[in-house]
Amino acid sequence: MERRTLIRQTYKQFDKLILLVLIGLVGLFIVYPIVSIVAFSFRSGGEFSLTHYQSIFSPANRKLIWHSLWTASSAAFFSTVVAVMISLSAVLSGPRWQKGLEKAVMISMISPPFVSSLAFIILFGRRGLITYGLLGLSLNPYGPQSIVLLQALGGIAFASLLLFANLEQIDLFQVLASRDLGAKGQHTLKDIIFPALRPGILSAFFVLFTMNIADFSTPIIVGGSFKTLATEAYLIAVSTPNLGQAAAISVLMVPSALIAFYFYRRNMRLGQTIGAKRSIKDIDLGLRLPGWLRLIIFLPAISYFIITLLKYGVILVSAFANTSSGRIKWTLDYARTLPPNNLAAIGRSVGYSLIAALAATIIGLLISWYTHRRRLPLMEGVEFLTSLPYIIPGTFFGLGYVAAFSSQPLMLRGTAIILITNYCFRQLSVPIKAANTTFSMLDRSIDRAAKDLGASELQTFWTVLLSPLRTAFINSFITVFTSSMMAVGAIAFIVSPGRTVASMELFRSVGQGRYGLASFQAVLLIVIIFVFNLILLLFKDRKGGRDVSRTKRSK
Amino acid sequence: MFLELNDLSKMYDEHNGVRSFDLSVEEGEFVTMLGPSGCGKTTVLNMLGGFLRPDGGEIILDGRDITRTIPEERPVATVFQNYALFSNLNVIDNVAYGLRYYHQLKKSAARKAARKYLELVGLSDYAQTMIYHLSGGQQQRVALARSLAIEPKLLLLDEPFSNLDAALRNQVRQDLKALQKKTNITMLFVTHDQEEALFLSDRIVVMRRGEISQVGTPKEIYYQPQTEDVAQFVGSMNQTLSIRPEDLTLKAGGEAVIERISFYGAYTDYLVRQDDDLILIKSFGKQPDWQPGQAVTIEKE
Repeated sequence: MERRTLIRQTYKQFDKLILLVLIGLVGLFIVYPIVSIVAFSFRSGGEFSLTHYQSIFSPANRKLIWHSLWTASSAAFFSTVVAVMISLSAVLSGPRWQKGLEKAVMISMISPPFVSSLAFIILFGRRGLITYGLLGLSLNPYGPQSIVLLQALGGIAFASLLLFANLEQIDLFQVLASRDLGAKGQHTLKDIIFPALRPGILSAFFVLFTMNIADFSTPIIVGGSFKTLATEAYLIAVSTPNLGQAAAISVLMVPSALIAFYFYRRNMRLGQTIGAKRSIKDIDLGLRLPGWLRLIIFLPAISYFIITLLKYGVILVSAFANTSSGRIKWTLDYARTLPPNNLAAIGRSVGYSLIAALAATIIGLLISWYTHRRRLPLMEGVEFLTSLPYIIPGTFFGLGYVAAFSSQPLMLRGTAIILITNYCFRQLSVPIKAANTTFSMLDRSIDRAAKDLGASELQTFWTVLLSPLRTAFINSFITVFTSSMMAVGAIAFIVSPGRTVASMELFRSVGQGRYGLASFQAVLLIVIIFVFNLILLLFKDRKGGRDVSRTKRSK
Repeated sequence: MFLELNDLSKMYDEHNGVRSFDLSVEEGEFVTMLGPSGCGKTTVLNMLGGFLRPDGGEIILDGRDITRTIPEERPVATVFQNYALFSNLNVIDNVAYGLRYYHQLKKSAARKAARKYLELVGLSDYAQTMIYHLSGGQQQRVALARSLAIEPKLLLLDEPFSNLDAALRNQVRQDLKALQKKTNITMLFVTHDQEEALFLSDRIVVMRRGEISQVGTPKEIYYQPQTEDVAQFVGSMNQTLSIRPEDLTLKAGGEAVIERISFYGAYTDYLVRQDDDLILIKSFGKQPDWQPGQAVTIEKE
């Protein structure tokens, strides 16, 4: 064979091999665990049975379902409302504030979800700095109202980021046209801005609802005797070897997740526009609103940032002070008595999260390339599967890993691999989405030109597509790393006692009521995440992060 | 004068922007601002629409100073280059939009009033259609109807035909000219297409580097360009002879030599060397079978 043909053949085979490996990974670490957990829920004593489901619908458990439904939906509702106000504040303020707001929201995401619960208890608990120390009260803060409050607070940043993406889709000229035709600020909000947010609002609400349903950490810490489906599944799974019952409960959480999934996917696909457009991002629209409306919009947004600052402040103080008497007594005890296995856990967290982030980003970019750039048949289906773990409850996905990888030949329990793959495949949708966006803005003729000049598919990817993907790569890496560092939901079920990670250690300290130690661990974790974020952002800025919008197809 | 721009300026930096721009427009006049991209024509338009605040100068419309008036309250409407139609509303609600807000009509009354304008642009049958089901030409007409519906004292058009293909563009130009005659609305049009400007306008403002090069009727601009730039940008010009290429013809035999022949169908361009100068000659219709290298004489028609 001629040398050129031989090389070409090799590339072709290699290309196929990569594709097969990708599909294999998705099958093994996404499909197989999901199938396993569903199978477990229908099995009792080695046979097919509905026992687990029957026991779930007992009157006592029906109460749990009801508890989960109303706390999760009210919290999701409040989060979404505040997030809408935050995004409207971004629209109404000039570019500088807009950027600040976006950064503030990103920073407020950097903390494990139950750190809010921790701060809440330190301030308002039985020996709370405010309730006991300041007001001399000994209130019981535990109960559903606290669950709703804290889940609502926890969801705001996520919902805001989702809505920011919708705002970027708005065409500046539509806003100008509306003003030009005499619409006042409030009319432009109602007719142009709000319709653009609507799909994002639905998506945010249902995704948050699903996250809240699956969240066991908040109810366990601040729920008191109030139980939900998630707490029940968690307690059963960690206290008994009976996986079936917990599996059935977690399967119950899936329908809401599917609804969330529908709206989430739909929102991703939107963005229909006519003709060339210019985003309203970073532009002062000069909309004028009546005072009362400004108050309604800005007050919740400002309150959220004050509360977030307060949260970090409280954690910081509590990390270096004893507050159990209701007063602040400064101390370095928590730092000095930090259990040595804690540092090891932090080391593992960082290592696992870095590996998971790298793997997820590489796998994600490749899948996006095969799906959206190469348009290979069936890849749409594969890509669909990759977005499942992002939306389905963490409890469900975590138990899925227990069900799938607890026996030979795939005995991964107790190894680092199970944690890393769980981190990685849970977040795989992040790099895929980022790459899809980049690809959609990149003219297809670039690939055609490369292939026309003799490059193979793989060479095309490597030589002309990789460099525009740089920003997507770094952004996804940061997001996956950060989420993995803070993950608790799915990890709680698969982490083994000897090889625990930082977020789990923190969760355990909170659960044991060691709030000072927990605060110190939280500060440590937040600082580490923050430092890594900064380092990674340096990478992004160094080469200016190539601006793909310059190669936009529009005129 | 109906519209007066006095000493208007807006500088983005030391070199870019518009400086001391003066222009007077009569009621019912169709004026085009013509120039290459970056010449400042869109900047002037944005200041007229209220989307850009001038550094200095004033805008007087129908005796009222509107320099600092916000867009919502200006009796000025804009047809945007990308039309900026509201994709969440159907055709009739797009057209009714300004009637509801600018004229404060009730929703049903606004829709009723909007019908008249849909009829004006020949889209009565599409009232309930969603925007994204329309063709580019139809979208352009909806945008026009939407702006006309507020009965603006001044209509601004920002390269409204640039997204249409050539054949369609000819048609909509004719339509716009007829519509302007019918409604007698003062229009300010922005384009970089000289043919479009020559065909549509009562007067043309040729712009370059943020300043006016020349103002005049299309014929004045074409036949009596006052600067080299205007002559080059509007049509082409043989510099040595100061004559338009289409005003020259060829005759067999002589001192000049044909260097290059470009056949365009409706016309043919000849590049001819006479002495040491290259001269362009544009001949319309069917031509004798000239060959490159052939000796010719250039004559004025």
